[in-house]
Amino acid sequence: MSSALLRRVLLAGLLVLGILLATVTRQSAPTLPGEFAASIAPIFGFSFRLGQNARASLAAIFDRRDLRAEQRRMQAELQQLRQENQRLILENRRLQATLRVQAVQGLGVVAVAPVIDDDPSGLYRRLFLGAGSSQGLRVGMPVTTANGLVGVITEVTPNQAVVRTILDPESRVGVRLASAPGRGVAYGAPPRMLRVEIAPEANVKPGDKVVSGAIQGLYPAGITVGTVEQVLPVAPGALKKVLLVRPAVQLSLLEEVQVLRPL
Amino acid sequence: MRLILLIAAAFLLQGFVSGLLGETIPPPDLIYLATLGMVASVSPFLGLPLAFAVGLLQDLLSAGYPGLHAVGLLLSAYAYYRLSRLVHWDELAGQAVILGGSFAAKWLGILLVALWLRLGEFNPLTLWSVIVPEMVLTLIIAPFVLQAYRQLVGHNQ
Repeated sequence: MSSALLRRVLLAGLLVLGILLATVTRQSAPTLPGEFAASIAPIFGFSFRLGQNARASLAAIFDRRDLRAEQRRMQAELQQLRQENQRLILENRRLQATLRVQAVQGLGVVAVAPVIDDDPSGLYRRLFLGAGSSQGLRVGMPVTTANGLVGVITEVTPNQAVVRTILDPESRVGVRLASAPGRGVAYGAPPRMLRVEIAPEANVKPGDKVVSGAIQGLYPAGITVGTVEQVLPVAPGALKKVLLVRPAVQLSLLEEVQVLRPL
Repeated sequence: MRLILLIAAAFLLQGFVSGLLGETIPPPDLIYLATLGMVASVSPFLGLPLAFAVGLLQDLLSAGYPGLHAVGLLLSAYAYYRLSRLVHWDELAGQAVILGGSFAAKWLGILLVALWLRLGEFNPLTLWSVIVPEMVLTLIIAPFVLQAYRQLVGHNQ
């Protein structure tokens, strides 16, 4: 008998044996092999559990890495939201200031402009705005805030404007007393006061409010200008009473101003 | 003794890989690869009964039908011997033919017994999602495993 034939006979014999074995034990499966498997399961079950534990460890590592990535992403998002919140707070403050100007002063606001610089000379008291003719600003437009009068626009470029404030030595503002009769003119008296000349008969005392008052002037009437700090003694025969007035607006702290329609 | 240790290691490693991959991916058949490595080092007259015995052991360990894997591994070993004479193992195409044919013969044997026992759930239509990934994974790692086996056992084919 050749080797190839022997191999085939061996194959056929084992094949038949396998099929017979399966047929004979079918009724008892899986009881019979189950008993055998149960007796040696701890040996091979150990490696299976080892694999499961390795898998769980890898999953924990990857989950941790995912969590770290998620944490980094959320931190970046939080930072972005904080910045957005900050921007919205500033915008809200700006819009509320505009609303107050309109509610208190009843005036048409042309634009809300950022203050980008002060006049560095020390002689003049001027502000530079980050808005100009492109945003609708024109020479002669009054500039104000919710707290009070700031000044008037004197120069305009496409994207910038210069404001002559009420503290500027060249500034002249027609004013009146808020709680008593009396009309006068406020001159800028740097660094931080106004010098108001008013009729000597006016009944005024420190603490009184001074508002813009000229009907035909540069500024709308009724905007707060400042508070009287000192009433200088009137010299005999003087034609005017001089008041030192602290402006209602702290110009050095201004961040934004409202530009009004010109009269 | 070395062969017994090899088979024991294959069963242990198979359990480890099964636990590692979980239920998402069918693990590669390391027992089949170990059987191939084993039968490659002996003559068919010893290799065929050995493959049958390993398959029977696998059936008993997995609490299945005794004879199912026995016939599967028996046919895979026979296919290995036959195909090794037709193509050369040292060429990549030859390895693909031998391993692919042998793997197909294993499942043919399993399905043959399943058909004989009229096991309805054992058919290619329901098992293709197991057979295909298992075959792909097994054939991918087969050259490396068999090479490692040869270096371990010191056998030159």
